[in-house]
Amino acid sequence: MVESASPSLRAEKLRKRFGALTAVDGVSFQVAPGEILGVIGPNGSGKSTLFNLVSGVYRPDEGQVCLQGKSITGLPAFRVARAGLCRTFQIASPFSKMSVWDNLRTAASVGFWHGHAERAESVLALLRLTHLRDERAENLSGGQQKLLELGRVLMRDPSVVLLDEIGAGVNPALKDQLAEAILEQRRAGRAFVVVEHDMEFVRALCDRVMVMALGRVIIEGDFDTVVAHPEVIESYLGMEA
Amino acid sequence: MSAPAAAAGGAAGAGRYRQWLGLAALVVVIVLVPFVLQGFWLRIATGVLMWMGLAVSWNIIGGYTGYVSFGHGAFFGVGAYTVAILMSRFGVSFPLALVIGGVLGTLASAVVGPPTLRLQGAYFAIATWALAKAFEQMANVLGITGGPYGTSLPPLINDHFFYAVMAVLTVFTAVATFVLAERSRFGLQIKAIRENEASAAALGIHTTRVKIMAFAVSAFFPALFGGAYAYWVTFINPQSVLGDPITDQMIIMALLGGLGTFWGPFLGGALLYILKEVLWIYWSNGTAYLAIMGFVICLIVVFRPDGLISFFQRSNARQPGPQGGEG
Repeated sequence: MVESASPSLRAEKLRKRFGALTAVDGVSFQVAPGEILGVIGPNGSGKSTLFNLVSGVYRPDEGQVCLQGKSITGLPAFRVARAGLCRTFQIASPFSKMSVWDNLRTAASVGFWHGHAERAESVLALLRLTHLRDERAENLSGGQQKLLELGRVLMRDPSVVLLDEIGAGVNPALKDQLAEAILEQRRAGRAFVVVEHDMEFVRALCDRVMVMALGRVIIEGDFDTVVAHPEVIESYLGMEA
Repeated sequence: MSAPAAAAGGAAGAGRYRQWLGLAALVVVIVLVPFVLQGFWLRIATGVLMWMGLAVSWNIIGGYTGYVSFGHGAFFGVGAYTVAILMSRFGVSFPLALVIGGVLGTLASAVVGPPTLRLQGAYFAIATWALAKAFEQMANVLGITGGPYGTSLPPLINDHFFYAVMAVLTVFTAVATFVLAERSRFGLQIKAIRENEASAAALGIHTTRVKIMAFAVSAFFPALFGGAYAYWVTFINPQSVLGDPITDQMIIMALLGGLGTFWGPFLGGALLYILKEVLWIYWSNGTAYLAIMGFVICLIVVFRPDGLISFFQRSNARQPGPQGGEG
């Protein structure tokens, strides 16, 4: 974790309303190069909406998002991706009828075409998917599809990666593989923001954890500190500390 | 490169080689047909070429991109009327009129594409169907089109000439579609849009722009075929070149052959057109041939939902790897 470096991603006072519901209510956070920030919270706490605001799926009602010091607030998703912020989705969404290889090539098709074949080979090796290179994505297991989604993101050499429940429904062996790949990528200076429900996965992976409830940030800090916080226990487990 | 990767690369290379070989074989067959068939059957072969080309064109937007357009008959009609009006009223030569028809068809798609391609699924289908209806009504009321009475072109009775024109257009359509959809970044992007548009955008793909380009490309070829068809049949009216059957047949041919595949629309176009003509020969006084065609189409959709091309494709059943079954 590199606290002193200027943040790769900074969000300030983000707010998003859907009718009477305020899904994200004044959320601010930042993540430094090479840092892994975990975002946890009960269902409906606003984690996925926060990802959608940062990645350009939704336009925030208020607030600002800066990537490498430049505002990406309100840019459409394809422009955010081109600026260097890529994401995966809660439900794995590979291009099902396309091969694993073509999934990776597609990710490189805008701005990263030069040398894409070599990069795809190294991404396949990193994720141990080389033997499935010509397999249709729909034939992969759920865990392998999550790996493929991470691989597509890595093809774009992003400075910031948002992972939305990348470990959900993945068997322990593949989850370890995912964690290894993420840790290796962070050593290269890539920043990650990880929404996850598996606390062991978060503990093993994240430098810092931010807890959300009802669209707000309750607390932010290292894993052991936040999970011991009474408000976190109450909101996450539905019981008083 | 690792051994499995090398083997996979070799398989992909062999597949690419087979595709080009298939295209070469198609060209050889097209060239040989006039030496074998004459008269009526050569005219049937000319129709086969046209419908194969139309199904292949529609497949770019409907199959590869996943946007089912019910408006492609409009572009066929724009090409047909452009050639008819330019040749009969202004004395423009056929080749020049044909090119202008293709350009105008593409321009029409570039105008209607941006608003309609913001819609998805049934909304897009309805919007494009309404577009085709609007073009048909315009042709009915405009003086320059001849209204409902239609327009005649300078007659030319030369079966070999029109076969050659359709052959050139079909080969041009086939090669362009193959390069664009199967061998380029554009092809990867349109397939990604079909599979998951949000994911495609999250990878930096400007999905709206790519869809408009796909729509324009898939409108260009039908406009060319429309122009050639008008000169071939020498008389057109709104119903014959802008009516629903034009689009409907393109869709059914692509669907029957195999949506989103390269060879499927060729197969669907050829078989359906031949079936239609043969049945019409034997039951021309009634509508029995339509019932038989409908039944055959139902059988194929129910038992071969991936289209007839799936008979020729290798099974892509799951082959579990070391991390096989779970995850």
